[in-house]
Amino acid sequence: MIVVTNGFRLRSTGLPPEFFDGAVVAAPERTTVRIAGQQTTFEECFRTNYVRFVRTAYLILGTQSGAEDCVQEAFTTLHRKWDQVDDPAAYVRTVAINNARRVIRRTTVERRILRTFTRVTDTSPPEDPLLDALSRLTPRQRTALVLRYYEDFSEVEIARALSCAPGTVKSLLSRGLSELRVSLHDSNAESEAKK
Amino acid sequence: VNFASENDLRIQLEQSARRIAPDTESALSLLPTRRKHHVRIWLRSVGIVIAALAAALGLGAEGLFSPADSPAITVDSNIESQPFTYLPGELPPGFELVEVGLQTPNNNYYTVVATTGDGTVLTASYDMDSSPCHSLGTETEEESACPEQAFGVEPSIATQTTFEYSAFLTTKISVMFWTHQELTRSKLNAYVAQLTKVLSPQIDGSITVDPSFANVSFAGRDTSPDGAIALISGARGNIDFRATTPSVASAAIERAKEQAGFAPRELPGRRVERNGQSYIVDVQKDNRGVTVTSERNGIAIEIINQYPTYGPTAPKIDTRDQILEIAQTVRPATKAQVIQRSGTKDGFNPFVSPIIDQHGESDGLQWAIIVAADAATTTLRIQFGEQTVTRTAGNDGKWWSPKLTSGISDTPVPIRLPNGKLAIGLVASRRAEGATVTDDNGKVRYMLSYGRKGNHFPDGDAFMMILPDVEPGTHLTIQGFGTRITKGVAQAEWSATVVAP
Repeated sequence: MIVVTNGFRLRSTGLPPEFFDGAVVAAPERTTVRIAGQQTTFEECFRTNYVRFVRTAYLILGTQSGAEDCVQEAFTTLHRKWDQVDDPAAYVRTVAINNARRVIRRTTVERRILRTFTRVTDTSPPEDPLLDALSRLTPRQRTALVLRYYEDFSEVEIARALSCAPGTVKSLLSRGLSELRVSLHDSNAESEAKK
Repeated sequence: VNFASENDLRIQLEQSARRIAPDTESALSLLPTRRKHHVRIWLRSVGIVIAALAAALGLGAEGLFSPADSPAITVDSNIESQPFTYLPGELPPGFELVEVGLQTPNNNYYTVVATTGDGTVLTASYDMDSSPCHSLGTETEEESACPEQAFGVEPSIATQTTFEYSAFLTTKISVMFWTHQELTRSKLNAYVAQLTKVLSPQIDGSITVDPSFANVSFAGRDTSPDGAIALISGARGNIDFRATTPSVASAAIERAKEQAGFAPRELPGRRVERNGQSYIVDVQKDNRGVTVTSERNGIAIEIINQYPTYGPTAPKIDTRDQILEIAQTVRPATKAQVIQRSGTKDGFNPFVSPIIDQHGESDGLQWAIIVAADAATTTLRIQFGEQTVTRTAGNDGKWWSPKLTSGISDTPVPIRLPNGKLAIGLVASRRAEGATVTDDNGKVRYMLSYGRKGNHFPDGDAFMMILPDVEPGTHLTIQGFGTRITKGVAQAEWSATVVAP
């Protein structure tokens, strides 16, 4: 039971807010109601979530500038739809993740080529072994791992975010973890050999 | 670094994520909430553009902004009443054809350049490539294999769809858009007519329409004292302002500056004569490269040189003088006569090829490059007439750079010729396409290329570069490049410095 107070409305009904003033109603879904006391302004939403979402996108993309762009774009989209979105944070996170996935798809070849040349000329250890290892995973594996272990998404939530079945998410996580371990192990071995 | 458990991984992910500290305030300042005053400025300055775009999109918005609404807007173009019919050879009245040429390695992209002679230049390009990569609007995994998308180029630009049009005006306004098959001509006419009527010379930027005409954007800068920067975009029927991210704004501004600041005035497409052949010198779109095209039977079919366009060392071309200067230095590669060579099936390898001996003729003089290698050393000896210069180095990888995937072996040997010119002998390593030589001041002194872009010297081929007017003691940096990655992009792999004797 959720108390719907002045200024909030049950979106699915289309009824005006004053209809619910002081009323006690049952909320069938969390996303259909802005819960009392949780209303935020756009700026507050931005300040609360921006850094966290940039870091999530950073883990997926591997670049800070790209991550900032993805999240900025997401907030820009949110700003246009502010009055239509019930859960702004979740909305921005979803859009930002989708943006990041789109960027990954578009830059796959670039990354591969850059990595090729980096191997030729760059003999220094990677700046962040974990990020480097993540970058060697497939984009879907990487996204699934970040959502699971950084954002603490459930498998069902990941499946929704990646538009796939929960079983696929399990497979992505399992294989992703295995490959991440192997990749990190190889990276450690290389570092030891250099020493 | 590794993780024993899933919790370990959580902790390590958190640590990795915390290595960055995004600037919330800076990012917030770019969002619409903080941009209202900028938007007002922009509305005053470029609102008329929206009307033009809307009108061009057939939204019937001509009435929204009449000239009386914006008395400050001036018309500054002599093509406003010239319907531009896109057919090669058929140009608007007053325009003179400068160039029609095929470009790109597949010869699937041609350009038309025309000018009125007073600085106004029209260029039109047509891409005949219909590969699947050019289908936009979908984002499949397969699509990411498209080389055009490999370097951060906007798909709508990189794939070019089927038509591209640019109008460079004397007012430093650059108008570019990419359209799709039908409607091109009418849309184009509408754009040119509308934009030249209403664009303010204070606005410095470019307009882009995506292939489906679903989105329109204007990126640029108002040169008024307020100096607001904005990116405007909108979907059909919903053109509005849109906040932009820092990198997008920065890229848009840079693009606008390049287009408006350089291309309108410099008239690329010059013809030069070298060694009995005719070449066309053009500047690549990003102003980071020069393409020299060899003409054959009236059709430009060979791109014989280009700068490496990737990486921090890629030089930037700024002026027409620089283009012509580079054109003066272009030399087709000297074909060496291989007297003796032994090696692997894949090509020359100094570690298994004990000796090569190559002769050629440059600048009227006979020369020879002799390379000898044994288990411990590699010796490169250059003979030019009576002179001989020998350099020896150990087989430590620095000499031949066997690890490099491409480039010119780092064995430049300078020698002063009797006629005062400087000769530099080089031997090509794997997939080398050419080299550039720059002096202490960054001035390009020589460019050398194998020939058709994407092809390369046979491994171990020797060649000689002859440079006039090089003072003794001048430091010359030789940068080899090769390994074609994708259209128009070559990777510089190697560089070395020699001191002129």
